[in-house]
Amino acid sequence: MIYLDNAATTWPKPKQVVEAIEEALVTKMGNAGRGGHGAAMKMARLIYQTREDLCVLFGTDDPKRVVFTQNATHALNQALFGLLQPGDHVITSSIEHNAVARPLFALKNRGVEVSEIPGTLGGEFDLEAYDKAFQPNTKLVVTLHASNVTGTLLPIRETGQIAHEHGALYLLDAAQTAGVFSIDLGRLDVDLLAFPGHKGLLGPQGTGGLIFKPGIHLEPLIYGGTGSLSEEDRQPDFLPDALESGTLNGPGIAGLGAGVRYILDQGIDRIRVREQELCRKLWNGLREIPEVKLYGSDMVERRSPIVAFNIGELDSVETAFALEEEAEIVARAGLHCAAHAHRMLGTLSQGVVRFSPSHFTSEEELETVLQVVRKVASEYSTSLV
Amino acid sequence: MLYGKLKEYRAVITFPSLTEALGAEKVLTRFDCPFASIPTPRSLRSGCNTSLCFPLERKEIVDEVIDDGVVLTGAYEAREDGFFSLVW
Repeated sequence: MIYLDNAATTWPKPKQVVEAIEEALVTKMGNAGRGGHGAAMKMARLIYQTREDLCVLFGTDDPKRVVFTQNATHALNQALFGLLQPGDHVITSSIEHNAVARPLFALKNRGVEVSEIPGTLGGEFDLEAYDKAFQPNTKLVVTLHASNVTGTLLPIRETGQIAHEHGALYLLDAAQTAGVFSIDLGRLDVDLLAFPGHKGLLGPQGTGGLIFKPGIHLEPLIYGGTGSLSEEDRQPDFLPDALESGTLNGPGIAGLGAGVRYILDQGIDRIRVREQELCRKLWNGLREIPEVKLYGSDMVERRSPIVAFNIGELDSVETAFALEEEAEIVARAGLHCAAHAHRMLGTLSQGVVRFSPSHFTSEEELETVLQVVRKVASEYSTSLV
Repeated sequence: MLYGKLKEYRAVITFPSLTEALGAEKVLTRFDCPFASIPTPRSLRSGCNTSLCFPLERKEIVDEVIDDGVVLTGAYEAREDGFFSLVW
């Protein structure tokens, strides 16, 4: 199998990640914070270590403000529902994933005002229109860092600066960029960062988190046991307990920590450059196939490692199916949980095929991929005659 | 009644949450201070059921723990007749 769906979840994982999960399952038997015995403390220390590793990666220094969640969607929901009240105004982009679009739709029905900044191809986030969208009640700006459909990066530095000039907070959805692009919370005007553990950070599925700066109060999304203040009915108000009710995914978080340490060890820039080289190869190869239509900027260096395309008018799902049938090439087709982005691209009906390599992908695999796309495209052309 | 390493170490710090205790463990390790995690004594109940005890002669380490941003709910000297606020 040639796996090109790393934007959905990365595979393979580094062996260190697999070993860390196994070690946690075999030797860190307890439930963190549930009892002070040795088994619980072993798991608690391991989870704390991952909080510290994430702080190093994201340029922050308070492990207590690293809140673990099941995934980035969960983290985004925690941030949005924890922050926004009826009467508040929030600004977002027109290429959001459903992880943001759907919570905002639900919040709209609860009295939160939502402004979506219109985008065009090549101008996905109009900073001038954005600057004019602020209102006295604008509490938050939320955008993704890179589109999960085309990989297009949004101008997060400027977006954060402008949000702060207007006294609003900035929530960044780093689903496609955490572990691939440097995100330094010490230097960026990002107040809340939502990230998945199982994509660029190379951890297992079922992990993710939210990091947010001091001075921000979030109402919990869920309430329950935290292992602290057990005698009280009220939810603890200190972090991370306030937002981490229920047993954490200890073995998963162990794997996530190992993934983060692997990235720190390898160097995030090295990993990204490798992935961008692979995208360049894919882009250049696909561009030469007459039936292929590519989406997004041809500057692969300005994108997360995604190459989106279609073959003529062929349904993207059919293209992806043909690639898998021909040579076990695994790619994601359809709408990628991002109807807003497809509406802007004009691909709501056809969808797109998305190739997303990882630094583990080989040049030889991509040679095979290009060869098979050529074959499928040629067959498509013939079928039209 | 004193128990575990508390009998030997005689200094104990308590926390509002386990995450704070884990942060304190890191500081004590960094400064090469021996410590043990123990159940928080009933009379010192503070939110977190785990406390850290360490040798009384290293009591100045509490400054390092606080400087690192760890939140404590108390620092005590453990004597046979009870717990007394630690003076350092």
